[in-house]
Amino acid sequence: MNNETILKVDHITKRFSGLVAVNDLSLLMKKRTIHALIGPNGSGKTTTVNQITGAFPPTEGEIYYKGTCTTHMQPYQIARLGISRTFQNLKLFTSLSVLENLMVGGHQMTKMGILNFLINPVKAKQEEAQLLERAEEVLEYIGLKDLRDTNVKNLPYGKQKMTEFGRALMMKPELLILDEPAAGLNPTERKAFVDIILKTFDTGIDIFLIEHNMDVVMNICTDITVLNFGAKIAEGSPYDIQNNDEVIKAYLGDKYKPIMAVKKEVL
Amino acid sequence: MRKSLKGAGILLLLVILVVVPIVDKNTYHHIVLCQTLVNIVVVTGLNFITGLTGQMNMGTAGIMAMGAYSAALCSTKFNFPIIVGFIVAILMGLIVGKGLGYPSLRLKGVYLSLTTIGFSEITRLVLTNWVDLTGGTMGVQNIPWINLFGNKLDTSFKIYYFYLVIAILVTIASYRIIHSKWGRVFKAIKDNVEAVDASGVDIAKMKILAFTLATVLGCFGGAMYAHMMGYINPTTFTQDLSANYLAMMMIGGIGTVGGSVLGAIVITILPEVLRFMENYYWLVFSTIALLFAIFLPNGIVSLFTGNKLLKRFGRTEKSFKGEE
Repeated sequence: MNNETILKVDHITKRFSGLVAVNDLSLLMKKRTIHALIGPNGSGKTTTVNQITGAFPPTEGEIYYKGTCTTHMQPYQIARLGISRTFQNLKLFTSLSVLENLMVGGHQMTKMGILNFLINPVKAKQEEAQLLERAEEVLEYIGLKDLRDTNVKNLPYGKQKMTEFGRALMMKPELLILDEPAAGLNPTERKAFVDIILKTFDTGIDIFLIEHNMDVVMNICTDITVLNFGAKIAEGSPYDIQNNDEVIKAYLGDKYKPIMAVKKEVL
Repeated sequence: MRKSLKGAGILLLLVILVVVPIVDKNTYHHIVLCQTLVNIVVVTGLNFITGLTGQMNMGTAGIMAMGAYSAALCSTKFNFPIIVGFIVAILMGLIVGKGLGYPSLRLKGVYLSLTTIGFSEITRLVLTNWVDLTGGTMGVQNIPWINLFGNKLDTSFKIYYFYLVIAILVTIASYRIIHSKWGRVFKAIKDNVEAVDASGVDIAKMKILAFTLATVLGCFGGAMYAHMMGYINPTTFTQDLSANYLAMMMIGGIGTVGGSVLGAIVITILPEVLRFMENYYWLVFSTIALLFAIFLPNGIVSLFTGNKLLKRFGRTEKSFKGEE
């Protein structure tokens, strides 16, 4: 494993008026890792991700993606650099079908301008066909081929999450940020989701995720950063984290120590 | 089966549109029909920004006025050829589109509506008071007829067929845009802006594009209106007109080309059909419009695309089938 950094968060602080949501957080994510950000509710995980993806800039500090400073970029610019994300509370296009949702995800790969589109129907069709091809590839990959023309709002929650995951994959990202991918899924769906995350990682996409489910985190992640009240309290491998007293105390309380030591077979 | 039915429906509508002015020789009716075509162009444009992208634009009257005055003044005051007037109207549409598009990046919902109303009213007041240029409340008179390759379109009958071709071209173009990547992104912006942003799409660019499509078609429609009537004045372009266009879009069916076309036809022609009721015609018309809004919330077009009437009463098609 090489030690090249893909994402560098450099002493960021985010204040919402009086509330310090993230306090002087630094974080290094290496290439070819699945990096998890964990912490109790309200510890600033989603705020951190929102800053990385550009939803709002940090009050202080800088964020670098592969050496490029992305601190004050717009979300769409950051996405174009190759960072794709899913949301904690699903953000799908509810009036569109599964296929169309994916195709919006791939919109930015298309190049044609609107005037060119109107005067050149042949080329327009080609471009649409390319986008469709990519969307069908992803549909196959996430296993929703049968549901391609179903409106997403009529899908069960697990399938909706899968659609959002597919939409994030459409643009062929290099870094995929997942905000609580396993939340709200039943054990079967969770297993399927973990499988697809690992499979995606194997195709060469690095993954940064927020997760509450310890089974998932401890089994698939290579690095973990733990937040509490907006500040980093620990980081390291799953093994280090499981045996870090500070983490167990802050995150779960002393009496839950045995639960942290999840065996691999549980999943 | 459904596709061929749809094709038959469109063909039927086309035949009706072509035949009616030949059968009906009444000149006033011809003017109403021309007005219908102008409205189709304008509503198709409005559909992009309000119907698809979900940005409430209540300034259609102002947009149309800009187009109408640009074209009219070019051919009367400055004696340019009419084609130049139309081009200037389109350029005006591009400018207004950018101008209205930028506020829409920061303003949402009712505040954007107020901004567009403000734009519309300012336009009307400037046109009323800048007497030297616009003729004030007297309006612009003697706007020349369109001259098409040496054929002077000097009756509403002739103009009708020219405008019919334009309306068909506009309809085809907007059908293509709605069913393309742009149509998809417009709808996606209405559903969830943040997710579109996170997908790497420049929202600012998209919203401005949607606004520009609306203003270009609005201004173009305005120019068509000016050359059809031969006379324009600012009192035409009040808020009533903007509301009328929104009504056409909603009663026809939001977000679809078919809806825009049907809405424009129904809302333009229905009041004329009801004229025999004399004093009561506007009351009856409003009642009918209200009934449409209640019983066909997805517009007239939903009559042809699926049984949306049932959904109104809390039953989906699926649950209805389940009861059988």
